[in-house]
Amino acid sequence: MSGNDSFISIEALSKNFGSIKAVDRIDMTIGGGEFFSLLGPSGCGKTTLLRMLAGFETPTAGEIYIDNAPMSEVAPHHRPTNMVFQNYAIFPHLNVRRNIAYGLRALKLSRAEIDLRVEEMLEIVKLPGFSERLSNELSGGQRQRVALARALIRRPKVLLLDEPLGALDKKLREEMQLELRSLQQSLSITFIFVTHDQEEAMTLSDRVAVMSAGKVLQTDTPEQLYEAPRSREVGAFIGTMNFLRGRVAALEPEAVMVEAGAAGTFRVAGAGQGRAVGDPILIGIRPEKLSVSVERPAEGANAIQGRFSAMSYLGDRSHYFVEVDGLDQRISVASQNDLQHLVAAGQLDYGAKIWLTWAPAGAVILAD
Amino acid sequence: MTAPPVKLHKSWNSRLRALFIRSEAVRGYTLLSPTLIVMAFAMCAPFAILVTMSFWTQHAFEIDTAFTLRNYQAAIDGPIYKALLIRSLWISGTCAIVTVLVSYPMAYYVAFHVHRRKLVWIILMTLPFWTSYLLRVFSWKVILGYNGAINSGLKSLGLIEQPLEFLLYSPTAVVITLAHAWAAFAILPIYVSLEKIDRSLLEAAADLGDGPVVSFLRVTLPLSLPGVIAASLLIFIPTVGDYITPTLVGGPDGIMIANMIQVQFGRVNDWPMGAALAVCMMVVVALISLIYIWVTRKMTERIA
Repeated sequence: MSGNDSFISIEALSKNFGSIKAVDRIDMTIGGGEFFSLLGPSGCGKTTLLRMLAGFETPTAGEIYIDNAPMSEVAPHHRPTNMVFQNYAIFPHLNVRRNIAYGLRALKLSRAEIDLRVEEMLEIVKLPGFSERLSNELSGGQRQRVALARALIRRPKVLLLDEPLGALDKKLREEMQLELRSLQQSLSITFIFVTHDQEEAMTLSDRVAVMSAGKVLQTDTPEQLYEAPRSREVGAFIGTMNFLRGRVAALEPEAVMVEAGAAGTFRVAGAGQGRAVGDPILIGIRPEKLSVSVERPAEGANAIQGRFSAMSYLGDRSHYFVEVDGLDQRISVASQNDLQHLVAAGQLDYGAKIWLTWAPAGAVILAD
Repeated sequence: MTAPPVKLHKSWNSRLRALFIRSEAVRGYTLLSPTLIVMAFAMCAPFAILVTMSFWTQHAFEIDTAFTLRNYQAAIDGPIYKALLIRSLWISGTCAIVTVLVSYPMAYYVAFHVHRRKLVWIILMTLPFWTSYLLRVFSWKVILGYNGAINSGLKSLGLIEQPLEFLLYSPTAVVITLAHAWAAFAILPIYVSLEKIDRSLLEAAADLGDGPVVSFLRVTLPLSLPGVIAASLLIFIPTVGDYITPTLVGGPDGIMIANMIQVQFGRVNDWPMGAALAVCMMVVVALISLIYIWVTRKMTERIA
């Protein structure tokens, strides 16, 4: 991250559509040159927030500051932002060159300067030689690049991207992700990226804000979001997570003992965060933090016994599903094919008893 | 294994069906056939008769069917015909421009600012068409007349002392009446072309630094041009040949070429001359339309 840490500052921002609170009192700061993602399911308000940044929606309450300037009185065409639209919004009556040069008219540049910048942009987005094509003569990926070039040519302070990769196929999308990331790093423009694809948000971003029902659940680096989600919702939205509900059995300086009914008692690393013995507590464990074994693990380790109920083979790893008495959901385990050979050899049947173990640091305490 | 017995004689029915499935052209012509039949009998045949007749000559009550270009010679030489044709083109051209200018804002409003019940708005705009054409023309007579609504209104406001005489029985009256009568033909194509414009394109224009006026000129107008071109042709072409409106509200200065054609077929009883004038008018209108389409296409290419 470069530049100041609150290049964009969003204060108590709300947007209501009738009785629906699309964005509900959001506070947020985004650093200069940061690749920031807004992640959430459709309808969570992420696009509305982006459109308020661009100026296409007027906030019901609150204020947006970009580079210390309040934006509420600034019309979209005077904002230091540019947007890559979800459907790209390439002007159908203009060729690629004129599309890309479109935004330069307002900057009143000389013809030579315009040509220079367009050529430069075509190079950057890897579309040299496409300048005379019309939008209906371009593939989805090429349109995406034109939209990107058109937005970047104005050298905005902030680039807003509204699910720009959603319409591309998987291979192209991964390619474009890498290109976007390196483009952002070389230009050091602040990117605000809206997506519902958690993997995409994780791959690209410096920080991610996870949104749900108009609110921000957690804003963190991808690593923190994955390793230390604060709530059940975040844990479930980013990747897969197993949840265990229990009560605080004992408090240690660096760990909490959790008693989860029939499943047993476990040690979870972390502070009790004000909880007292006997309080309800929710812990989450990522599937890959669990390991499976047929033999009973050593005394004192975190372990649950369950029934092997299903398996899916994914090549580089396998997912095993284990039913545990006293839990309403199967526990999902991802591992590098530990049990594969046993299943293949007919030594492990569905319904067989197996053990799950994990390290105290492998689980996290969640806010309910 | 033995092959199943092959049916050697296919029925006519199945052969026809096979042809139908295989050939797209056959299917296409079948779909077109009702229109083609109507066009052939109701358009092409009369047109052919008209063209043929224009090369004949009328002698009192007899028609001489010997080929001659005399009618065309007369049409080109006669200053009255030329003047009337030029006036017709002038009136229709003005009418097309006025109608498009008036209709565009209406179509724009419904396309961009009406969000509910658009259909009701569209139906309301076509409302004038629910009454007879003659009735509409007469109502303009009432409005524009010497003691009509406009004149008496202005007089009672004290703005004028004598009624404005140029309102009725003038080319202005013809233009106003035609513009009103044909407004729906302009509103609908313009509305359709505006409605088709992706709203995110306008947001993109604003995002790229264009204010409302500039983005209208750079995005909305070029993208709605097909509708504007269709609208202006839809008005220009039929109004050149209108003779009811000029008869009723045109006065001596508002007479158009079609009035002359009507007279040739009627009172003067010189059908070949009328036919020649009609053919001349058609050729000129077709030429102007083609030039117009060509020029606008070149222009949009230039803008784009």
